[in-house]
Amino acid sequence: MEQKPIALESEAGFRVLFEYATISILVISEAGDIELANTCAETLFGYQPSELLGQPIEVLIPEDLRSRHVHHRTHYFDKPKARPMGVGMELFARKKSGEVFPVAISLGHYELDTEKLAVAFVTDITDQVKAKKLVAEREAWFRNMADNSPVMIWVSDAGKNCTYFNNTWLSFTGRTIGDEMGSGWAAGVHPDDLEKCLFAFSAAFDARLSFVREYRLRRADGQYRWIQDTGKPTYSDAVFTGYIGTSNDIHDQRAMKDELEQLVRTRTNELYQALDREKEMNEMKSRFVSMASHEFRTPLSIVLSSASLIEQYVSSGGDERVGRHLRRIQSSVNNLTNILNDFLSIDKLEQGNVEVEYETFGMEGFLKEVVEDVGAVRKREQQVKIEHLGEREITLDQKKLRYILLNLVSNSLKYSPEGGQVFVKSMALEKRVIVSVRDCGIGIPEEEQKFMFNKFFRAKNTGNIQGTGLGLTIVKRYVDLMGGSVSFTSKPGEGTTFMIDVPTVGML
Amino acid sequence: MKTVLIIEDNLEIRENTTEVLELEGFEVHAADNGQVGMALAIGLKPDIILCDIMMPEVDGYEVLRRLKEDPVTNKIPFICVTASGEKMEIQRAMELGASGFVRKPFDVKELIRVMRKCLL
Repeated sequence: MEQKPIALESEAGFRVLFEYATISILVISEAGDIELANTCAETLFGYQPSELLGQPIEVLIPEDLRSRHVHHRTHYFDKPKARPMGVGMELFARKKSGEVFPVAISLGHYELDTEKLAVAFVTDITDQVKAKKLVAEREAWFRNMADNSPVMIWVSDAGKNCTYFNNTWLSFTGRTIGDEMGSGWAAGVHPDDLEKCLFAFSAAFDARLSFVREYRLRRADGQYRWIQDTGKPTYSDAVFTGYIGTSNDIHDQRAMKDELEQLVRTRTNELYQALDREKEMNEMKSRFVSMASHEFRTPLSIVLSSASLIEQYVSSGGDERVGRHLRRIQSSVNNLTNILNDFLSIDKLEQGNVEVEYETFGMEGFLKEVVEDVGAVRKREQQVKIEHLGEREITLDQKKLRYILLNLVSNSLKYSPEGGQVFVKSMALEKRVIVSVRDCGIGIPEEEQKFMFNKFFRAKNTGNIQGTGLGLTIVKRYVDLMGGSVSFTSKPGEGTTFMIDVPTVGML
Repeated sequence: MKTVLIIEDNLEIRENTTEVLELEGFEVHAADNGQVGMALAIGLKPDIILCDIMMPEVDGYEVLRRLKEDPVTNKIPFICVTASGEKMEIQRAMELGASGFVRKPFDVKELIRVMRKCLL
């Protein structure tokens, strides 16, 4: 096809501009033929240099759009003006290979020797379209995810206006997105919680801090439910864009927690009441023990002094049977008094009212006194032998040590046969005293040995020998109080040896 | 013959103690309450006083305190007799100037022993 010389060709500057432009430029005659195409255009459309010249512009248009384009083109030449082509429409072009791709086109026009010419500036927008599509896809994907999330989601812009609520939120509140937008959501907040809720939001917002707030939100059925709402600031390229928040219905958890707390309070109260009752019972028991031990003493005093008087009045008469019964009365009263004392002691120990009082005393004389004091318990031909080694004087709580040894020695006598021997051996070292009490009595059954220090425990083989089961308990507690230890070895039928090991204080 | 004043609100204990001490050779006077006891102590100036602690109205501590304040009676040995025997009580009585302490139910020999010791 013959080409007319074009004035533009002579203008070298324009030629350069034209050829080296990175946008595709096509010049089209009124007949629709391509008069000029720059290198960029040839490359874009996949043609050889000059191959496009003289071809109808429609070769560059997808086949199905060509006839329409002829119409548009004719129309343009009637009223040519510079404008983008196909505003608001997606435009497509066709490569030589037949490949169709999206383009943006601007149109211009000029006249040369009365011939009308149109200029089309074509840009391949494949990448932009792809990018836009990707963004749209991602947005759709996010919305889909947000809408299907079990969590309620909201988004606020930088001006504290909410711009988005997911479907989960909307179906919870039963309201439309239009109702909730801006500050509309606040209408669903419980009036009592609104102020606090808005303040938490506003304060965090101004400081750009994350926040967690709990408030009651009206559900579609009208019930106010406790919501936990977590908000985080959002940024785009370091520019604050607003907040995104997630909300959960925690009503049931809260109710459960409240219920649990209520239960704990109730139980604690019950416990305190039980403790109070226990304390009261203990006080009552204590009062009873002290009252009883006190009130018993007056009649016991009378019995004892009356028996003593009778003894004196009849001694001249000399009936041995009267004397025997009087001694029985006296020893029974003494026995009863000891039991009372044990009850009082154990009560005081349990109340924590017992202290250790140290004094210095001679050990040998002390042991002799103990043996004298147990005289009443001694059966016929029974003997107590004393042996003391080491330091002559020790410093310890004499009253407690006396109680301990009286108890151990009288036990030995009680549980030994007539004629039995009891050996009391003591050894006072610089910082401790060890005392052992050995007998050849009935012994303690092996399976019961571990219970020996329990309150009120009495071994089966004690039979009708009297006792309260408190003596060894008190012994053990006294030894513990003094920081010492008590142990025993025993074989039924052969005898028992008790041993205490108690720290002493250096000479006072 | 030594004179002893017994201050004891319980009739049987008062009578038994009186008998026991008379057999021991004491001249015995007795009061059934603290008020009368103090009056007798001042009037009779006995050689020794045996006094119960727990009594209604004027108790043994009060009797002890007042007799120790009175120059006429403050030299007389004062023995407390009590059904309790708590350490605190013994201490209180000793601080008020008691010479001895006997715990109920007392063995007659023990009572005599404590009294003889105080009379030395």
